[in-house]
Amino acid sequence: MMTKSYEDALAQLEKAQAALNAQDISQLPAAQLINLERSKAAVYGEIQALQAKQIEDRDQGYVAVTDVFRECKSDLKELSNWVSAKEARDRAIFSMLTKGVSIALSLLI
Amino acid sequence: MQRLFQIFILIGFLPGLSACSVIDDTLLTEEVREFSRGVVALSAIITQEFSLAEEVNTLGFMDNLQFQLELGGNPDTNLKPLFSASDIAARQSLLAALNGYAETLVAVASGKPLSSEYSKLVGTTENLKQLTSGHFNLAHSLSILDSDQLVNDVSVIDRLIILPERDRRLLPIIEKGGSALSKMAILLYFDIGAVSDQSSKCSYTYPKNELDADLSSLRLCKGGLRSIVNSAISFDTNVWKDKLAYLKTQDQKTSRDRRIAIERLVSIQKLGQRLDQLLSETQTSLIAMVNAHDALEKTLKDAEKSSGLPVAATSKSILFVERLRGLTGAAASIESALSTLSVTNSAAQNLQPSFNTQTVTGVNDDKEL
Repeated sequence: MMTKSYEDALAQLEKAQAALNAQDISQLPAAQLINLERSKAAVYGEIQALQAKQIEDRDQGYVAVTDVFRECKSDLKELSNWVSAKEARDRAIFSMLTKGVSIALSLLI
Repeated sequence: MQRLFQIFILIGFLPGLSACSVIDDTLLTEEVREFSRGVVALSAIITQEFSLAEEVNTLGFMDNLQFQLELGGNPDTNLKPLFSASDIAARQSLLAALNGYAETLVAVASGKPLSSEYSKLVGTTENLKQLTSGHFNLAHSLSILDSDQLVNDVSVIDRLIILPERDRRLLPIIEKGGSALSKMAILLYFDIGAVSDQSSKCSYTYPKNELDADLSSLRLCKGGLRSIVNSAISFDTNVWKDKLAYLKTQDQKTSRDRRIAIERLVSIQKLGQRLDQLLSETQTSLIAMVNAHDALEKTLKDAEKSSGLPVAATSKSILFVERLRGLTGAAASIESALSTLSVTNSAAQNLQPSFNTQTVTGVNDDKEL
């Protein structure tokens, strides 16, 4: 996989955030809603950390800068697994969630 | 109103001065004083804006935390400030240098002893030497090279200003100080940033910005304090959107609960719009500050040529201060609105004392909660 720059990572995080925000949560069970809200907070924190800090060495590949974002990998995976376990027609309801989660996970590999 | 009346009086009064060979000291001192008041007020507003950004971030954190707890979650309870102490200290050094310069001008213009102003200015210029581009939000619109150049120009401000110890005449100080003041204004302008891209070049490179150019010609890409505040507002807004959607699924929902959530959802968005307007007008005020300084320089040059005190120059200083007075009021009003939102946070969050944390919907595969 190609290494992402911090600038690319910021753009990807914003895409992930937009997708997660666009998901209608009324179809989510509470356990997954908790995972979603925790993931949203983690993505938000990572975006703000990247915006507030000038990354001095831009040639270096992106590595998550906040612990909270790094640690939310398990929440994102749980959300991903939960959607994957659904019937195909139900998965369509959670397409924005799937998109947001997969973008965010791609930054944590 | 009283200030506008003052402008009219000056406009009526000044042509009479044009025949004089020597500039009116009282008017000049008052003009420098007006300029200095404006600079000090502008510095205070910028400081306040960084503090407001932290408050919005805190509000979003609290709302998200509360929602997660209501859902039965186990959220991270450590608040992460947006800016580190050293980031805030860097901006304070810059603003202190601006204030020190403005106060020095007043002391020179009014013939007062300079010792305290001078020592303050020397102290702040020493702090500026410690600055690096990493302390500011410039990467959204400037290359690393330009960022470093800009911060370096500001950090050696004492070379650009002829300090009053060497020359107590106002004009040479202002002539040299103009360049430094402009660089500081540009740095703050970029640091405040933009809420969206102002150039089509932003998607692949940096917009072409000359660091010596007129501030009004600057084109920024999304980033800086405005973008950070926008993200914080958006985060909190989305917590309330989710909460509203969640309420729809609850059997025990009431119209009162929904109304409270809607009010919060709207209030935070309106606050975000007002805060961004304040930040945008702060950038316009930075341009007004540079223009007022230029006008002050022109006034002094014209006075040396015995051509009198130009009306336009004087009115620019007054209008600069007038603009800042409006911004100070707006900032105080936003601070108050934000404080009200924070205080009422607990009450508004407690929408349903018997929050059902079992499931959001009829989906029955996660009933372990």
